[in-house]
This record gives sequence, C-alpha cells and structure tokens, in this order.
Amino acid sequence: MAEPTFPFDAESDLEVALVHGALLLVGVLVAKQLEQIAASLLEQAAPAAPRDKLVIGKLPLPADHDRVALVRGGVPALAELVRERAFAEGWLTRDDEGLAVGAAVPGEAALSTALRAALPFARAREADLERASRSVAARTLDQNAGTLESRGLVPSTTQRVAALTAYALPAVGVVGLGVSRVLRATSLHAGVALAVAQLVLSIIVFVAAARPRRRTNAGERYVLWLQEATQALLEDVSNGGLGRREDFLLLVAAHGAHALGTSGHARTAMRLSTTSEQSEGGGGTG
Amino acid sequence: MLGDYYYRKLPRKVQGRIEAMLHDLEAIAGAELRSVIVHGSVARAEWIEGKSDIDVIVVLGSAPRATLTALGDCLAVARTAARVDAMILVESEIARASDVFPLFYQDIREHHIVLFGSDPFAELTIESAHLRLRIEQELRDVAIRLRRVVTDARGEPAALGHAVARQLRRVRFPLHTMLRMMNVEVGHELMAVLEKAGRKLDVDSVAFRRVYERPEAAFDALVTLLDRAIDAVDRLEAAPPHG
Repeated sequence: MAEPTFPFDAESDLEVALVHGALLLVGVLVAKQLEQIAASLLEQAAPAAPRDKLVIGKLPLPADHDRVALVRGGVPALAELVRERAFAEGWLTRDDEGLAVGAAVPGEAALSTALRAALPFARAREADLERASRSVAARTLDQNAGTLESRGLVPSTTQRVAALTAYALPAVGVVGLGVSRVLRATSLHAGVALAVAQLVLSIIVFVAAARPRRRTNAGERYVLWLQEATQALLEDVSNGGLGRREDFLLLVAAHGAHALGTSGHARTAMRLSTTSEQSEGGGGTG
Repeated sequence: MLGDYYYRKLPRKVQGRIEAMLHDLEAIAGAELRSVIVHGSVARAEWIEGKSDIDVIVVLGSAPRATLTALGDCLAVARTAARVDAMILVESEIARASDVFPLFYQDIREHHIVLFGSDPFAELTIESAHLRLRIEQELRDVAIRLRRVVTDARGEPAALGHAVARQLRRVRFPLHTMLRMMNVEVGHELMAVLEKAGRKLDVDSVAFRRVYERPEAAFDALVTLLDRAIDAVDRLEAAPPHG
C-alpha cells in the first residue's frame, strides 16, 4: 500500500487534485449562493422605482434628460449634453473664429443659463466651453447626488460594499486554503510545485466561475432599456434623418453624441434649419 | 392571409415591439380599444428594414383626453424603438369620413393586417365620385406646390432634385387609383405607376428615373403629367361606382 501523502492522507497526487477540485467546487457554489443572497437582499433594500420619472416603459421628458445623462456617464456625459443643448437652443454658435455666445433664448434650460454665465462674454474658445460645461455638470451632480441615490438611480456606498463583501468572503476561503497548502508543502519540502499550481488554478477557476453577475441598479437598468428603446430613432437621426430637437437631445442623453456620428453640433444646426423642408413633404391623408 | 404573411416576415425584434405596444394598448384602453391595424408598406410588402415606418391605426370607441394622454408613453416608445407611426381613429368616424379620405381608406381597405379586434375597413364603401374629387385635389395640390419647389430651389439642381422626388412620391396613390379607374392594371411601386401613367397620358417617364441627375427634365415631365392627369380625371366623371 502506498505511503499516504499530504494533505488529507491521500495516497496519490491524483487523489490530492481530486480532493482540492471538490473543495474548489464547494467554494464556487458557496460564493455563488452568497452572492445571490446578497443581491436579493440588496434588491429588497433598494428604494422603490421612482414614480412618474425614469421608469422602464416611459421615455424621459425633456426635463429629465439631464438625469439620464448623469446616470449614464456622470459629469462627462452631462457636460456633453449641456454643450449640445446650447447649440440646439441656438444661443451658442460656431464659426471660423471660434464660438459666439449669444443672448438668452426663450424657454432655454436652466443649465444653459448656468453655462452661458460660465463662458466669456460674446466670444469663447473650445477649451472655455469644455471647462465651463464640466464645471456646470459637476455642480449639478453635487446638487443631485443625494436625489439620485435615494431614487436608486445610482448605487449607494453601502450597496457597493455589501456586493463586494458577498464575493470576497468565499474568495478569501478558497485562496486561504490554497495558500495554507503551499505553506504546509513548503514546510514539508514536498509537492511545492503542485501546491502552487493548484493555488493558481484555484484562483483562475474561482474568478471565472464565481464572478458576480453584474448587478445593475435602477438607473443603469433604465438607461439600458432606454438605449434599446431608442434604437430606431438613433438610426434615423444618425443616418441623416430629420428629427425634433427633443429627440436629438434624448439621444445625446441616452447614447452620447458619438453615437450620432462625429458632428453632433453641426448636425444639430442642420436639423433645426431643415425643419420647414420636412413639413413641406408631408402627404397627408388622402 | 397574405398580409399576415408579410407581418410575420418582419424581424422578430420588431414584431416583439409591436406586440408589446398591443399589450400596453389593451391594458390602457381596455374595452375602448376596438382594433389595431397595420397598413402601408408592411401590408404592401414594401417594408425595408431600417428605413420604412410601420404604419399603424389604433381604433378606439372614443378618444377622451385622459385616454390619449395615457396612450402617449407606449406609442412614443413604439415610435423610437421600431418606427411605429400610429394614427388614432374613433370607430364611429371611419365610415363617415370615407367621403373626405377616399384614397387613404381605399389603400387601407386593400392592404391591411388586423392585429387586434374587428376589421372596420372590411365593409367600407368608397364612392368613385369621392375618389375622383380627391385624386384631382391631390394632383392639383402637387401642381401648386411644384411652383414653390422651383422658387425655393433658387436654381440649385440638388435642391430641385430632392424636392421634385418628394412630389413624385406624393402622386403615386392618386395616379395609381386614377389608372385603376381607367381599367389599367398597375402595381404599387412608384416607378411602375409613373411609367404606366406616362404611357397612358403620352408623357416621357424616363425623366422620372433620373430625377437627381436631371431635375429640370423631371420637373417639366411632372408638370405635363399632372396637367394631363387632371384632364383625364375630369373625364372620369361618368365612370361607374368604384368598390
């Protein structure tokens, strides 16, 4: 009968590998179970879906475009929307000499007023616009952070920590088992290479098999739904079709200007200037 | 039915959107929802993915403001997600309005797919006198708009080409119906209609195929075609009732 080997009095390396494989499997299953339990608790603890605003099944009203941009991409996304809206409203124009800052226009958004106040008078450079729009967006995020979190549109710190903990606990167990085996093998001067290989393999398998499913909060789920629900509009506008200003800004908020092509500002100007042509082409109901 | 076959040929994703809209319409309008009908390019097998709209008619028993407001979200999502262009009709007004929308209703009557409820267009009677008047109105309207097309283009060939092309699309249904009233069989495709009309009215329709390359020639040909078509429609007055 063969001499029992470390650990578990296994009689061959194959048996050692099998025992460790079984332990790894248990670790992965425990991790998945814990992650699901934690996710379920987090879902229950999350605030109810915001009423009348960003709810799946409803397109956002123009007043909610800022919030959509914030949820989608934070300050950079909102800054982009603020810039595009300024061009769409017509008080900011681009010419050969740079940017021309015009007077307030009727019905302009509050953030447009804030942006114009942050820009130099009459003429501005692209860098001024970039800096001013980011500043306005950052201030807006600061003012809205609590609202976004309380509405479940962005994850709270508690939710982030709880989700990470649910994944990390079993990971510590699996890695700890592997490390203890390496240490014991080192102290016995036997099977060190195999123990290290099993440790590395355990980590790879754990990361691949027990990786937590991406848990999206209400805001992210809404933006994903919105992006899918505006695909046809996005195709129409990015292919040069004419659209309303609200549609254009909705797409910038939900997808970003890059999704509309490389010339967001120019496309806005074109779109607004051709509105009369669109109405002329209607066939009516014969 | 062939229309159902054309509907089933739509991508699953688009059908899913339409079905989601139907579900929402039923949930919101309840018993007031009488029919949902697809017409236009889908029903005529002319639908092109990524380009064509999906024309839908939602027939309600009544259309109070509260119901229309409640329908807003589901129709807006259907529009942005799948180019669903919805028209809302009240059941009782359909038959009564056939005298003022005869071309539109005739096209629906001949090419439509009932997705929900009854078919309010099945028994619809369309008088040929109404058809003749509406054809003449549409053709005269295009003729009047064509003059502005030239002044607005200000000598720019590309602008003229696009504008004339739009007006050509507008004459498709009036000319198609006129040809059928003259017992000329023709399909629905735009160029087929223009060629048949050109042959019937002795107008060179080749220019229509090159509207973007030679917009002036297309414009001249369309003006001639409209003049002769209006004369021809005038002479249809004594024709037997249609449909």
